[in-house]
Amino acid sequence: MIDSIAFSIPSKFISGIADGSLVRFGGIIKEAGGGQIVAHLQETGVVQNLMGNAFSPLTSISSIGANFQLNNITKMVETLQILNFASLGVGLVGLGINAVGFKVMSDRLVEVKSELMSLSEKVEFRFLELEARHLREHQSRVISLTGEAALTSSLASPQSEWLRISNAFSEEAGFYKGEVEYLLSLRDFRSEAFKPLVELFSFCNIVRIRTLISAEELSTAKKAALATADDYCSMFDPISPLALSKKSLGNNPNFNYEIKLKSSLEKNKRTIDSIRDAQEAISTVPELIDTLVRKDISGAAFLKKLEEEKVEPIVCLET
Amino acid sequence: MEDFQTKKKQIQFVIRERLERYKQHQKELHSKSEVKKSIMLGRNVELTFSENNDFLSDRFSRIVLHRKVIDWRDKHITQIELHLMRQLPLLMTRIDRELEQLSTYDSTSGMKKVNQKIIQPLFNRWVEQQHGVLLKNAQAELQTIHDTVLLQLGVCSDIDTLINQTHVRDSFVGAAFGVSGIALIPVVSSASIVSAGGVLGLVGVTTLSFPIAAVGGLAVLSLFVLGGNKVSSIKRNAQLKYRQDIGQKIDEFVFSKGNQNTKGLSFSLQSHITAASNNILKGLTK
Repeated sequence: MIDSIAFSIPSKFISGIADGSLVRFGGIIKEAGGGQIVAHLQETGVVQNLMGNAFSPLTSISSIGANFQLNNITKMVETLQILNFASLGVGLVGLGINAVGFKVMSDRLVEVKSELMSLSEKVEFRFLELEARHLREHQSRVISLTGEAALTSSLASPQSEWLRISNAFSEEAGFYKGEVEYLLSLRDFRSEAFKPLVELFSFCNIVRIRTLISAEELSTAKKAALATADDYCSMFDPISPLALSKKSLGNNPNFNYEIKLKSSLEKNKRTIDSIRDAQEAISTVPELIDTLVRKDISGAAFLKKLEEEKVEPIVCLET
Repeated sequence: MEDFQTKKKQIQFVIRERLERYKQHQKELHSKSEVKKSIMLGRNVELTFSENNDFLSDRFSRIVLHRKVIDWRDKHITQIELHLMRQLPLLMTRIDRELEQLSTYDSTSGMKKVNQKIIQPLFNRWVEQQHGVLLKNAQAELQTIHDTVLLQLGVCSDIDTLINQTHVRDSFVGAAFGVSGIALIPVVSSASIVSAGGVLGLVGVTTLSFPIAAVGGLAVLSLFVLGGNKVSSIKRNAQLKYRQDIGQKIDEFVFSKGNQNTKGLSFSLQSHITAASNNILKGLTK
């Protein structure tokens, strides 16, 4: 296996994308005509450290004072715009294989947990209150598993531990899948509860894939990525911004209904765009794993290199 | 003898091979017709794929098309809703214009005839127009996404049924005498229920309309003894009442408002789009 991995930067492909000879789809850049993949887009450890919320990564700008981070955000936004990302919502699953430090993940999970718990105090979210204990249990488990994952890399023989953690995340992903499906089956749409639950569902899946890659179980990681992409299709294909907006406004159109509908449509379109971008991104991960296998790149080495990157938020692995 | 056996074996081999080829050919034909069947879109719409595309064999093309189709669906079902919301007030303005031109008689006892001869055709034309514009746009964009064609996008056949279910209040009776309860008269394009006649022509038309017609006739007669201001006020009230009722019914027809059991025009058009996208997506997962 090779340990030295050469990454290029996305600007290398800008002219190709601009003249239409190359197209970006999900996490890949491919030839427009022949369809040959020329590079895989891959986020580095820099990206999600900058993101506050998976659905609107740029909202965290105001809370970041340091010029260094601001520069990185600007660079990341420019890169994503050049690559024609509609909503910048790839924060939900990331581009390529998740490479965020487990400590950062853990911090974000605590935030999501408090978002969900604060909802259970509101009258309209009584259903959450009823299940609050159950939800708390699962969230605590995810946070604890993330902590265990952070320690695993320092083990002398981490493979079996990675697999155990991967299985546990798979179970948690199943739980959150059920919660999201339940939420979507309700007559009313509760956006405030939907977003954190989708984020937790996505989180469990991407960490599951990442831990499999860390354990060098690339073939299983590929299968997990395909299964996650299928889950996204079955869960989110049937929903539309209009359906969600109508659900959130209820079935009794009243005064200013049109204005309320338009405003709700705008918000829900952003949410759905983020989910669709995430769906695209996860559906191209199997090809990235194929490239790792073909180029004989070790999964652990690949992740290590990405975690160590300090300047470029998005890099390219050429095929 | 050996030659004969060899020949026999060769012939058997050729027959077996031909049989296999025939079976294979039949299987291919069957699967093609299955694909065709699976992409039938509901009642009125059929989707066809062009002959020379190989997108089904290319995973990326499938994923790309998947996203495009979903985005197309989301965009057009939203557009249908917003377009109809924008157009509905314009239709009501046109109805208002028609109502303004009515005589006192037409605004009162002749309202059902006005509804049948003027408003209903106006509404029908509007529905057809919206139907055509919205689905034409959707189809044009679908063709740019992929070489697919939505066929038979006619005006949805439910429209007649829904119109036949539409009822409006007899405006004159409601406005002048505040009669309610018996004031719902079916307004239909069919002349078999409400026939055109004189001022009292309503009498004897249907059992349902008889009491209203009787009250209506009495009221019309009383117009002769009322002053001009009173007459114009009755006319105004009658038109106002009619407008309210017809507005409510049109809203109900277009957006299923107030009656969740009926599926309105908006729902019907959106169902066309959703059915089309579902069938394309189903084709992609094969």
